[in-house]
Amino acid sequence: MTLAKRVQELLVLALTWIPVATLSVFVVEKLDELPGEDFTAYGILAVLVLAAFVATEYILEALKFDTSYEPE
Amino acid sequence: MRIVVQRQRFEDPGFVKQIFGNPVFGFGWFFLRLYLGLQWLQAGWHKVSPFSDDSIGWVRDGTVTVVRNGQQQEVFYNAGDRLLGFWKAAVGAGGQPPRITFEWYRDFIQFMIDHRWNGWFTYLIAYGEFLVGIALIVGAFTGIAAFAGAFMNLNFMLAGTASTNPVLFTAAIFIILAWKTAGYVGVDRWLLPLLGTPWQPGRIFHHVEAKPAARPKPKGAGA
Repeated sequence: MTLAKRVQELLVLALTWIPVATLSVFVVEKLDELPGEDFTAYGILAVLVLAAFVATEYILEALKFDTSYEPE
Repeated sequence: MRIVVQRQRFEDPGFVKQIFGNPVFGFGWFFLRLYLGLQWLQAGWHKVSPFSDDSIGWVRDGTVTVVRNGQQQEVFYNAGDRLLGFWKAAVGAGGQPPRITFEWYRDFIQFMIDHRWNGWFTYLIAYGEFLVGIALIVGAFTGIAAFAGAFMNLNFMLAGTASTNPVLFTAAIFIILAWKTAGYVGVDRWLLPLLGTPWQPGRIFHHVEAKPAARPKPKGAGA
């Protein structure tokens, strides 16, 4: 794995997930204004994380990164 | 008499391996992880938020209006004063009965009060809670974040506060056990294979050398 590839993969992860973290904080900040409060926040965060998950998978596949995952 | 010691390896049952090791179950752990992360983020954010008066006394100095004996009063708090108040109540300062059961833990908290450790410890707790929340929501370093959360829960319980701590502690234990897959629907899906663990370095630490050029075959060799 070349240095450029390593940096590129980390950059993709940062650019996809830092906005998710920022939006999570925003959701918690506006929690009192949400109808259903905790339950709605939970739903919004679930959709956000799932969307970021799919987006990251798609981007890394498109850039031809090795995305194998074998925890065993 | 000769004693023969037989080595016997005990394996985890198949369903345990599946639940804690199969990435498919990562989608199940995701919902528990998200719940835990949201709880920590809420707890941490009100302590560090620059937009809320709740952070006064935690990480900010400032004046807060409080009602005492039916009268509104302006009270000035230094950063760390709220933690100091919590510690003093836990050890039973001012004639109150102590909330802490274990004497060694009471001595530990008293030591921190005497040395005014609340001044820096307050940042550790406030930003620790905030970062644990973020890490669990995005699924980065999930096992480590869950461990840090469980450790804080344990300390809050030792200091005599039940609240939501027993539930969060139990949830964190499950996330720690499922550290390999709990962050699958999250950054750990890519971060874990990339960074690896101290006992199994990831792809980022593997140096890939250029393939050597093919040697010409010696004359007369081969079939």
